[in-house]
Order: sequence, then structure tokens, then C-alpha cells
Amino acid sequence: MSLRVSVTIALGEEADVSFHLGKPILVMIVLAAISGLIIAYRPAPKAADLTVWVFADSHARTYRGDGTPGEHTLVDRYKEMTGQTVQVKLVNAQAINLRMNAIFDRNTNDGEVPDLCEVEIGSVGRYFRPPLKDVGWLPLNDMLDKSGWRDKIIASRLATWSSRGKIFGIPHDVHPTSLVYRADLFKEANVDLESAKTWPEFQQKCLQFQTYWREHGHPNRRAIEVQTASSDNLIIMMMQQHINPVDDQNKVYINDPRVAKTLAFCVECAVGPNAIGADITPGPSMFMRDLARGDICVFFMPDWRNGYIKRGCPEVAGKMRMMPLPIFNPGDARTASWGGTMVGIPKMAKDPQASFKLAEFLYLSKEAIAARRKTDDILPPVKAMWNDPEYQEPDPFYGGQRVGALYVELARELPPRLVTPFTSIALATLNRVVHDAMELGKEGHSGIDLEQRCQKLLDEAAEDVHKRIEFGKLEG
Amino acid sequence: MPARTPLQASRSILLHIALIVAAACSLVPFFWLLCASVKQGDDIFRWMFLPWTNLGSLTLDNFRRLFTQQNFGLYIVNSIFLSSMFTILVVSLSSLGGFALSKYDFRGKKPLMIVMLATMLLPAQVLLPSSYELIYHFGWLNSYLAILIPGAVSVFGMFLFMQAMKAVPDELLQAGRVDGCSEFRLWWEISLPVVRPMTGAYTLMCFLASWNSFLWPQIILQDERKYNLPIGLANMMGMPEYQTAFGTLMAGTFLSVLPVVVLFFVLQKDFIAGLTSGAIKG
Amino acid sequence: MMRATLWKLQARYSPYLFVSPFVILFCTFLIYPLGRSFMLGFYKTAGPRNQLFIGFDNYKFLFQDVLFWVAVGNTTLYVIMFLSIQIPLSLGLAILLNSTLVHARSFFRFAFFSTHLVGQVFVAVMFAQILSVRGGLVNGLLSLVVGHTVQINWIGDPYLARVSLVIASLWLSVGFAMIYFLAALQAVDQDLYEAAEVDGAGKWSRFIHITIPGIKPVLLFMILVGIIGAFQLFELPWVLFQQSTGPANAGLTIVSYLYVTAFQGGDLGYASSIGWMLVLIVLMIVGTFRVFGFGRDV
Repeated sequence: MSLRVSVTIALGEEADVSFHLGKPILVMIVLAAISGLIIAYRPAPKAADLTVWVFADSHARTYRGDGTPGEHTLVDRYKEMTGQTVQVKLVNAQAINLRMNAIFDRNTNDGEVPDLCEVEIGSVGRYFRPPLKDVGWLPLNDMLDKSGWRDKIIASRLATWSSRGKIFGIPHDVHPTSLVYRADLFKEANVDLESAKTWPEFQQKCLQFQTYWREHGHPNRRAIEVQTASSDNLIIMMMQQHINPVDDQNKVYINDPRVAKTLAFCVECAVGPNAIGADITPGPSMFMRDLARGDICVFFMPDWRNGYIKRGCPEVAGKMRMMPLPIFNPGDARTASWGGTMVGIPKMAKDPQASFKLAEFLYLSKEAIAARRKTDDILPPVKAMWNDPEYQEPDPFYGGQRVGALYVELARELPPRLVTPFTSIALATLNRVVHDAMELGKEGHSGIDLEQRCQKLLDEAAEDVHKRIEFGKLEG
Repeated sequence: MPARTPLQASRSILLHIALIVAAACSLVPFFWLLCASVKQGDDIFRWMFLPWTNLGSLTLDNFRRLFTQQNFGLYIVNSIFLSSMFTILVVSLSSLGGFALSKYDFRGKKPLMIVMLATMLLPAQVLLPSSYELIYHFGWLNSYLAILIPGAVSVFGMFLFMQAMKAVPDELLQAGRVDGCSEFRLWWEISLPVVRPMTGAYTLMCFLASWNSFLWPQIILQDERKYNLPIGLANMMGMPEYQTAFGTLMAGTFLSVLPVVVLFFVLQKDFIAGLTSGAIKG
Repeated sequence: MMRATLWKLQARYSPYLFVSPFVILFCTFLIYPLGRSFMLGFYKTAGPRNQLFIGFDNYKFLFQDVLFWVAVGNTTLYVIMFLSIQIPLSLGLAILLNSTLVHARSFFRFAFFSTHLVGQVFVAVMFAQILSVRGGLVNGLLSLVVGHTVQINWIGDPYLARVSLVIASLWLSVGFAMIYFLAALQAVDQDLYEAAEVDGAGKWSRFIHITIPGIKPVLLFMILVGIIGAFQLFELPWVLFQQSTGPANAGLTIVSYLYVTAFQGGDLGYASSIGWMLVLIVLMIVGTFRVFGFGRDV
């Protein structure tokens, strides 16, 4: 009896197909062959001379336009000037961090390394952890000196992107923050918000506002956005009082008594009888609906956010007004920065000089700043440019208020912001503290009691941050 | 079917209502997904499922946008390539290894099996940092090699085939040897046909695992032209523009889920049998 | 003569040849990284190029690291919430589906099981939209029930975020567990039920005394698999919370802490020590199960 017959007898007719791994694997082989061929032969994208990675939609729009035909974008303009083509790639912010870390680890240019890459303030610290020689970004000190930009860019913004004396990025912005509010609704409630110069006064005005609307058919109308699980607002208020979470000597300040006071104030604004706010609906563009419906009527407004509401919330055009932030104590700043971006050159970029030229053009040229104004109102980090007449023009979105001039005025008194490899640790810790403090508020603590409990939370947090800083140091 | 009493009939109805509700919980999200991917603009917020009063507004734009404005086409091809390649490697190498473990006595078999067994329960994540370092030294960062090679044989697969191949009669192998079959042909022509149903189920399992894999590829692949579907989709979701362009994201999710559900629908019987066989016997 | 020797050689060395791909890959990509990760646990690193020996400092720090314990706490809470719903729900469904009265059993089986095919990442992308404040399916259905617009912030609120995570993973895995329970129920000896019925045992008593003991191995297996799986949770929360650790760290799991530490912070050493803690936890759970006399073949 031949072997095949015996197998066939043992198994019935199953053994007819002579590919014994079975049909599914046969299908897989066909699929693998076809897809492998496609991958091997698919055309490589038209390689541009220079590639820029950005994480913000609005930045990409500024550089490459939004696709309307006949548009003359910055990228087009750069090609006319230098003959070099530029590709602007919009990349997820998390992916940028992961990819840049791996690229720096790999330390070679296999064609996937961008010529320029934008980095957000919250994630830049991690790049500064290795010894100076192993930081993946190219130090720009020489280039900035030679081109003369070193003296023109505000020093406090260069400091943000520096580590151990080396500047690793060109700042994109200064990001002064103001408050904007629904003037129509406040007027109807007969509340003059701008007369509030301090935060406690501001809280009183907002309470009046909410009382009015509760009695006029809008029981859920809240005055201001507050954050119950994030520390952005708290940080702004800390910076107003010239308190950086961590300074450049890695000293921790988050348990300063003034911070406890501020935190307690934030809690009382969010929960309890004197609450004047609610969390915004999450999702980067959702808060605009809150504003349009009048569910939340006052917003913290750094200049980058201004572009979003103008584009995404045309319903409130003309009804909005802007004001400086109220303060806590005399001597505080009426603004603080929120967020920030740099552009850096990876050390293994193919032609760092060309990269720098492009960065200069996209960040610091007159044309670039003009293009920026079309998508958002982000103020450049070059003081001399603030005198441009454009910043004096009335803004119809704010009922003719000269918003540009207000931002410039605020930018001039902006407290410096320091970033170290450990700032992001402090911020993450503060997020947790804010959440815990809000819980205290919900349990009914208030006044001095709340403040003392906040102090305790902050002391623990500062201790934790301090330990992490000591632990995270790689040298000495 | 036994004869029905009224009591039984009403119990049967209740039973089916409960099952239908549960099935709806499973299936409605799929339907919702499909609906969301063919709606345009604000209809997504205005209608829960479909704009019934204005079905003419349904559109395939979301799908078109996926392929024209996104690298979605690339992701699909990459995913197909990675998953099928991975599956071929794992199934063929695991069955070969399982065959050896099952049908031969060789030096070092016992210690090998003990070490294998010991690693079965190990959470693979503990290997992430050191594997990353190893791949870095191999120069395989950003390369498909790093995804296909380390996973090309699985301990689980080896044991699965080892168990299954015990069903191959030794006399049959002996008869094969007498007939002049090489050992390789004993694996291919005699043993594999016996375990073919299990091979089919395991093939699907591997394909599924690879199709859905995210963590390791996300660490390895930096070039977005090399992304697989999970990475591509997860990154699309993080972009502010998709907070507003829901529909496109939904269309992408729908297309990513569809192939495996269809595949399963066709092969469900084998799959479930293969999946549960190990556990129930134990 | 030559041929015969060759033939003998192939017969003798084939088994080594057959297991060699496995052995090579196993040693290179499992045994070596395992040892290496043990070593890495004693180093402080910034990427693969900068490493500094620090002895047990990583482990010392780990024990007082608030974030690590938040991750352990989150994971434990998740395991408890998840299993206490998943096991009864899928067992219940399996019992319903096992009834002789059911029509279209294979349809229901497909319906329940199909969700398991969807990978964690895709489930996360889907549920981020399904649970979305505006335009989400869940809030939409709730609005229908209550009669006015419901805007529950499922993903953004630290407490509800944990609930959302459980909802999404239940959707993913109830059907999967049900298939196992169904197979186990079908394997229970039907004669036992008949005998019990003759003895006058009620439904509940039959469930406790026959069904549960009959499916005990599968039940324990599912619980063990559930716990081990939960401690390795990463992709679902990571993508659900848009590649972050969620509001107020509600989505921070042990593996996501490892991931963030290694691949965003660049500290492969500290990440390795987190990994070894995970190993320890899993081994402790398995050990506990063994003490209870189960798990010899898991």
C-alpha cells in the first residue's frame, strides 16, 4: 500500500490538497507576495529638498496653506527665492517625540530624518537629559550669533529652549495670555467685568453674572473655564506671581505658600457655593461650542488659541472682548505665557546650514509673520516686529477692539518662563495635585482649612518632584 | 425539538429577548461605525445613526479622503504584508519545531522544554527596553525585520503543535521511513495533514494578533510610510483636524475592522474549535 | 554506501535542524533580552548610548515612586471592576445560549464573539467616539431615554474615565469568555442534571452543585487569564486617552508607565525595573492560584 493511500485512508478526503499547511496559509502566501511586490515597487514620494515636521495644524496651515487653489504659500515663496522645495509634514505630537528619540538613538541619517522639526514646550525637557554631547539637537549658538538673531530674539524665550548654555531651538512665539469674554451676555447681565482688577474681584463679578442668568432662564450658564484635572490655569496664575515650578538650578517652588493660596482659590472657583466655572468639553475644538452656546463665557486666551476661536466660532464675532488677566498682589504681571514651540535641527540633518536658512524664513521673516496673521495671531519672539502697524488695527471679531495692541502690551510685561528636563515632571505632578485639591473642595473644605490642606498636598508634591529630579540626573 | 407547552413558549420568548439585547450591545457599535463613516459634516452630531429624512446626503467622501489625503492605502498594504508574512513564518516554523518536540527524542529536549515552559507566563513587556536596545545594536530600528524576525517562532505555537502532533500514529511515520521518506517529508506529507484543522485555527489567531499589534511596531517604526493600520489610525486620532473630521476617522476604523470580521465569519467554526480545544481539555 | 551514510545523518540530525530556528530565535530574542533586562535594571540610562551603573537605586526609587503605585492601584481597581462584571455576564450569556430552546445559536455566537476580533487599538478608537460628549452613541441613547440632551464627559472625567475603560474592555472580551464557558457547559455530564432533578434539587442548587464544579477549571482559567491580561493592559487605555495616561493619570497602567519611561523619557534602566516588578506581580498571582490547587497546565 503506498504511503499516500494510507494517509488518505486515515484522514478521509482531507489530504487531497497537496499543500499541507492548508488553504489559509496558501492564501497568506499569495497576500504576502502581492503586498510585498506593491511595497517593493510603489513609487517613493517626490522627495522634497527639505522636510519639516510640525505637530500643530495651524502651523502647517501657515507654511503650506490650506489647499485653496491659486494660493501663494510660504513654501512656494521659498522655492522662488532659493530653488529648494520644502515639504511640510503634519505629524502627531506623541509620534514626533517617539520618532525623534529613536532617530537620536540611531544617530545616522537614513533618509527619514527631518531637516527641521518643531517641538512643544511640554516635551522638550526630555531631550536635554543626556550629556551635552549626546543631545540630538544641533546647538544653534554660532548660527544665531553670526546671523545676528541672538540679540533680536527675546532672551527669556531663548532660555526656554536652552540647556547648559547651548541653545537648541529657535522660539516660535511668546504666547502672552489674556482673558476673552462674551461681552453681549455680560452687558445684558449688567456686569462690568473689566473693572475687576484682582482675581477675588473677578470672582465676585462672575458670581453676579451667574446669579443674573440663573434668574433669567439659564441656570447652567457658567462664567469661566476652569480645569479640574489639569494645571495649566494654576501655572499661569503662578507665573503671574513670578513663580516658576522649577528654576534653572532645578530648585522646586511648587510649595510656595502663594501657590497654596492660588490653588485654594482655583478650587473655590470650580466647586462649592462660590464656583464660577466648569470644565470645558474635552477635545481641541469642542470648547468653541461651549463658547458659542454661552455655556461658558470667559476663556483664558493665549494668542495661539485666538486663531482657533476666530476660525471655529464665527457665531460670536463682534460679541467678544478681551482684557488682561486680573492679578493677586500689586507687582504681579497681568499676563503669563501658556505653551510654546521651538524649531530645532537634528544633528544628523543632511545640511544644517540649509535647515537654518529655512528656519529663519519660516519663523523670523516678515513674510512668515504676515502669513501667520492669516491663520492665527501668534506674536513673533522678535521685539522689533511688535511695532508693525498691523498690531494696531482694530479687530472686528472683538467689536473693533485693538486686540493686537493689547497682546503686544502684555507681551512686554511677560514674566520669563524656565524649562528644564524636569519641568514636565513638575507639571505632571501638579496635574495630580489640582485633581486632589478639587476633591477636597467637593468634600466641602473651604477657606483657611482648604488652603492648609492644599499646602500639605503641595509640600508632598514638591518632595516627590525633588526626589524625581535627584533620581533623574544622569551626571554628577 | 420537543413539544411546546405555553410555559416553555413564553420562556423561549424571554430568552430570545435577552439574547437579542445582548447581541445588539455587541453589534450596534459596528452599525453605528458604518453609519458614521458615510455621514457628512454636521450630520454626525445631528443624527445618531443615519439622516433618515435625507438619505441623499450620505456620502463616500470620508473613504475617498482616507486614500487621497492620508497614507491610509499604504497602511493597509503594510498591514497585509506584515500580518501575512508573520503568519507564514510563525505557522511553518512552529509546526516544524512542534513536530520535532512531539516525535523525536534528542539531546537537550528536556531542558529546552523546561525553559520554554518557564517563559510562557512571562509578561512580554519586561523585554521591551532590552529588546529595543538589541534591535538598536542590530541596526534594525525602523525596519520590518525587527517586527518579523523576533516573533517568527512562538513558544505557544510550539506547544500547540506538539500536542496536536501526538495524534499522528507512530506506525505511519515508521511506514513512511520504510518507504524512503526523508524526515522533512514525514513532517510535510504525513504529520501536517493530520493537524490541518488546528493549523487553520492557529493561522487565523496569528493573523489576528499581527493585524492588531501596536506596541512593538509603534516602538520600532518611525517612517510613517511603514506604519501598520493600528499605528496609523491611533496617530490620526490624535490630530486636531480629526476631532472635527470624525467621519474620516470612522471610515478608517471601519475599513480596519472589516477584513478580520469577514475572515472570521467565513471560518468561524474551525476558529472557535481550535481556540477552545486547549483550555477545555486542560 | 555514501548515500546510506547521508541518509543516516539526515535521520539523526533532522530533529536538531527542525528545532534550530526556534532555538536560535528563542535565545536571541527572549533569553538574551531577559538577562539583559535584568542587568539594565541596575543602570540609569538615556537611550542605548548612555548608561550609568547605580546598583539597586532603581528598585529603591520604585518602591517610593507615587506614579508606579498609582499605576498598580489603577490596574488593581480595573481588574476588580472588570472581572466582577465580565465573569458573571459571560457565564450568564453562555447559560442562556446553552438552552435547548435557542434558535439561531450560531448567529448569536457570531454576534457575541465578533467583538473579540477587533484589536484593542481599534476598540479604543471606536469607543473614544462612541463615548464622546457630543455625537457619541452612548450619550445619544441616554438622551433618548431621559428625554433631554445628556452630555456626560465619559473620557475626560477622572472617575468616569475608569468606567469607560471597563466598558470598552467588556465589549471587547465578554463574548470571548462566553465561548469558553459555552464549550465548558456543553462538556458537563447531562446525566448529573437529570439525577439531581429526580432528587428534587432546585435550579439554583443544581447550578451551585453541578454547573459550577463542572466548569471550575475553565472558570479559574478565565479568572487567571483575566487578571494576567489586565496587569498587562496598555493599548486600550493608551489610545482611548489619545496616547496619554488619561485625566489625572486615571489611565496610567503599569505597562504604560514602563512605555513612557523607556520610550519617551529614554530611561531603559528604570523601565526594566518596572518590567521586573510586573513579572513579580504576575508570578505572585500565578503562585496564589497554584496554592489553590489549579494551574498545573496553564
